[in-house]
Amino acid sequence: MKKRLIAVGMIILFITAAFAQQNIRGFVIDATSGEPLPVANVSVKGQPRGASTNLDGFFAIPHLEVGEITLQVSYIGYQSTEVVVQVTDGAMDPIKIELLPESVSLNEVVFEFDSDDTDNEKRQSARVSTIPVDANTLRAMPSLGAEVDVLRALQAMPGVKASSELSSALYVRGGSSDMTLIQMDQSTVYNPSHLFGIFSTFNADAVKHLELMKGGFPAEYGGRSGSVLEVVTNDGNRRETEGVVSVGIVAARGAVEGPLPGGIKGSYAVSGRRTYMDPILSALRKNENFSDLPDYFFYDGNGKVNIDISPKTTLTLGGYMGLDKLDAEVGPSDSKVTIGTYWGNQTLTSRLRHVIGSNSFLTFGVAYSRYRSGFELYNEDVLLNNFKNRFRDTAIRTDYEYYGAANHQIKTGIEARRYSVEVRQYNEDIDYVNIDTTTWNVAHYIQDRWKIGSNFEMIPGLRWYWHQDGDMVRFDPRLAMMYHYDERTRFKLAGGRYHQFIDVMTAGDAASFFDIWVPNDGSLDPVYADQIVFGVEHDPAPGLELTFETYYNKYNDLNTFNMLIERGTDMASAFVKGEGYAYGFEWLLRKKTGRLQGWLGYSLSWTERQFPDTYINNGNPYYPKWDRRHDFVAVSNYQINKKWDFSTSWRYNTGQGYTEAVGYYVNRFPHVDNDFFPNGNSALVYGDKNNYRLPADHRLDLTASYKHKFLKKDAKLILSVYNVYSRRAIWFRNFDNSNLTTDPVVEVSDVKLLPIVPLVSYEVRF
Amino acid sequence: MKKLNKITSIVTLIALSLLFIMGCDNTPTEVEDYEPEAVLFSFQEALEPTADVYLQWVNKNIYSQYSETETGISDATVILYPLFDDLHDGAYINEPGNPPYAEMITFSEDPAFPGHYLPDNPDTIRTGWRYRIEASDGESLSLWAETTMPDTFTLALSDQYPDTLIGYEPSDTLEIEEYADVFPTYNRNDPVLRSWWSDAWPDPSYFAEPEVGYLLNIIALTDTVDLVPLDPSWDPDDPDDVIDPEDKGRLGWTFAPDYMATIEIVWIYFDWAGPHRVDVIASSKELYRYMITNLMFGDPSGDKPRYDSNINGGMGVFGGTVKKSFYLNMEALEE
Repeated sequence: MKKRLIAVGMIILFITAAFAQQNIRGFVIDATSGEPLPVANVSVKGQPRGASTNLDGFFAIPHLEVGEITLQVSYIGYQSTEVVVQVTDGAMDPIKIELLPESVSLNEVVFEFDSDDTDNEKRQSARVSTIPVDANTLRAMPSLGAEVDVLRALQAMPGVKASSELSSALYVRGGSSDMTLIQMDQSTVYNPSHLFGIFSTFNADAVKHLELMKGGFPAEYGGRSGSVLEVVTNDGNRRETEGVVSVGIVAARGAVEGPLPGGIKGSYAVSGRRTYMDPILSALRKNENFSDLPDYFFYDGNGKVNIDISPKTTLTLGGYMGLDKLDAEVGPSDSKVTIGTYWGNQTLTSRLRHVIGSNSFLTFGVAYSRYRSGFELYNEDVLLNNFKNRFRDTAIRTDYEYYGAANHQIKTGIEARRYSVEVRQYNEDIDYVNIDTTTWNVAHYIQDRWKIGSNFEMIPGLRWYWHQDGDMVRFDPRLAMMYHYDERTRFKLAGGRYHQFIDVMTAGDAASFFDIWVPNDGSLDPVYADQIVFGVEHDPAPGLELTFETYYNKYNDLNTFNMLIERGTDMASAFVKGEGYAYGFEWLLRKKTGRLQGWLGYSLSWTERQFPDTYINNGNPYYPKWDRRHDFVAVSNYQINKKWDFSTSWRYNTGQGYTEAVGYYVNRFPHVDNDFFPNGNSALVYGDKNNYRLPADHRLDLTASYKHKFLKKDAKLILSVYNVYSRRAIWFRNFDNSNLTTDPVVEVSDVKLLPIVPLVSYEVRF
Repeated sequence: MKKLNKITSIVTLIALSLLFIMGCDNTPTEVEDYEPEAVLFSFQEALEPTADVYLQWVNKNIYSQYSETETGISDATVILYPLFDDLHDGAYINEPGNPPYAEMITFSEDPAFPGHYLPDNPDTIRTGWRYRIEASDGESLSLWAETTMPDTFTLALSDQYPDTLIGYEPSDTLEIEEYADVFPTYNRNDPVLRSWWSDAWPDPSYFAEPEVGYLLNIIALTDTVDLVPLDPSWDPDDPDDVIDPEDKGRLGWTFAPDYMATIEIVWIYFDWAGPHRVDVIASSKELYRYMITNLMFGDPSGDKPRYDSNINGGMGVFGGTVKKSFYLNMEALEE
């Protein structure tokens, strides 16, 4: 059956190839660094033809008349340009189109397209719910600790929720955080957080481009049932060596990139980041009053090397390594308990991309991702608890893009993943948990971007999976459609089925570093979602985009960790099954050009889950914590002059759901008289799960940056104010019932998050 | 004019969104109209006489002061009877729904304590038997629960604890300061004490889902007001070292699933100087689940499900136990 499916895919490709004709193809690159620019717009002036570059900066426009054409090229944060190209009968090498960053010139050279050529990026694709964010936009956003954070930046998009201000986890359109596939240079990243979720693992200096697909994503992506975040890191400057050093309150960062030495064509980019709280904490611990302070640090580093083997072939080698470490000693002075905790990611990627002939693009990659976490508890020399978690994901993947047919752009690929999990929890007496398992997951997809006339486009696709454990085969049909109502307005519809063969055992959002990812062992049906998205896009003016979208997601065979598990030998005993849905409406108004850039967005949404016949809300439906009815965001960046720019971010959310106690009773234990409790012993009775909501959250963050010269180098002073009007959001509401003699018996208190925090950082580019 | 219309549309859109927000946002997800439930507690010890039963209503108003007389359930009919030999030959005595029952225990309310019921005809609880308890008042109260008693088991301790004192129960007249004369004394520099026990379930695979286990409880016997921490750096004269009575917990629970037959009783488990009783309690499945959920659901920012209860029609737990205890004294080290 599997062989037959692959054969069908290849036959479609060959049939399509039979219609191959001449076309132009090439790369769009940064003029200053030579780096490829993903998702840039390339259109043929005067013709309804065009394309957007893929994540490698590659584009192809098929079936062009021989003769002279003019290409209009644009990309967010770059000056648009026009390039005259001579289309010839003979073989044409890939062309390179260079774009100059807007920051290079402050004269606001914004190319004014004709009205029918306005911003092709979305017009060229039927893909919906996709938010591209370039590095410049990312770095201009206000941030906590003056540390630009990739995942927090995405939390400022409508439809993306956070469980709290302290968490960088993404909850996209009603899906839980494990439903978002996070890829860095096509290597999957698990648990991408530092400092208990406060920072993400992605160093903004290393990031070139982000693309968040909130739903309805095409068949080339899979393995998660909710959404996809694609992180593309810097390739490195191919023209000259440059770097940046930044010093902030929390961490110091540095990055260097440049052309490869020794005459090798290509580039490299290296970046790193480390907190320096540990020496401060160490100094504080010398004071008796702070002797219990823990020892903590995190670091991460990215590296990437691109070798241009030929104008058509590039080999990329990349990697990431990050680690958080927390050590503490607690307890009485004569019998300390030492706690050692760590968690971190490591990825290695090798990727070969090659332009085949005049109409094809091939990539082949091998990726390795490892997440590890653990803790040890010792009392003197006695091991009280040792927890070790190792999750490894090794993937081989190849993708083939075919541009030869006039109205078809076909993409197909296959990937094989090997999941390996080792989880052990033990002490000197017993192994509580001992999981050591490996399984394979193979997926193949094919999709066709099919233009039907000048106003209609569709992307049908099919993805199938074979999962080794349980010998499961599943199919994910996908479809996206777009209709041009007029030159400024587009209607889009997308949907499909989205399977997920991996689940997470989580102890709650606050402790996400203990999350244990486990592949499906065949004892449970895999989670899948059926999604449908309808959207309308309108371009009110050049550089301005207005998007309305409504969606409905149905989650089937949901798996959530069974907190009551005592012992089990398979996933069926470790998880409970359920179902859920999410629906909502969003609008986003985005200004991408000019001195003032930013966006306004709003989301109205509902999501509900149910785990019948389980302890979870007694089997009844409930709204999960990330269900927030309203969500309004306003983000702006204003370039005042050559030296100063100013960013603001304001967000309003409906309050988080919480479970309120509805009563209490006197608790009793075996063989213990209640006289042992001088203040009584009560148990709270909680109502339905998340039966009440905390007050709404809203917060304003500001950042001002001052560009100047420091020792003749470009430097930037970043002044940032987090939570400007110091409205402290509630993290959680606590019910203290420890004393039955008080009046009232239950004391309710709120644990709040950060007040106003002014921060500063300084960076020098060389 | 066209441009003005676009601006007007966008402003209208924003205004409408804000209206939605202001109009809907103070509405809680759902407003609970909670009907207080009945709560039953009864812990029966195998090979011991029938133990008492507690019945109460959940106090609905969490902002009120606790009143024992208002929450205790009076005038209820409470019965307890054996059903069958669950762990051995499966022999039946009774089936629910066909009273009167053989060997049925009836209960009467303690006049001094509303909701406290004492057995009228106490009998010895059988090991391995399944028991059923029922409580009703002919109106809104109708509770029942079943549980299987564990078998008895033996307890052993590492060499530094005298064998002869394992299971030895001091007399009720023994004063706190006299415990050190009868039972051994340890400090945190001594080798760790290890305990072993035999299996309280004849066939570990008896339960389809092995969820039974042992509860370990370290109980400080000194009165709360007189408790002195073991920490040698504790200074009774230092105002910073004053301990709130609410923080003077005298119990320390530890859990061991049924497949564990040994545990190290490390000294960090002991917080206070003075005499302690250590209970190793083989617990019926229902009681073990109730206690586990008491421990596990303590995360204030996490999920707050209800404690796992086997009381049909209410809350609480009906559990069976077999307990083995030993006593020891703890002394603080010199700083």
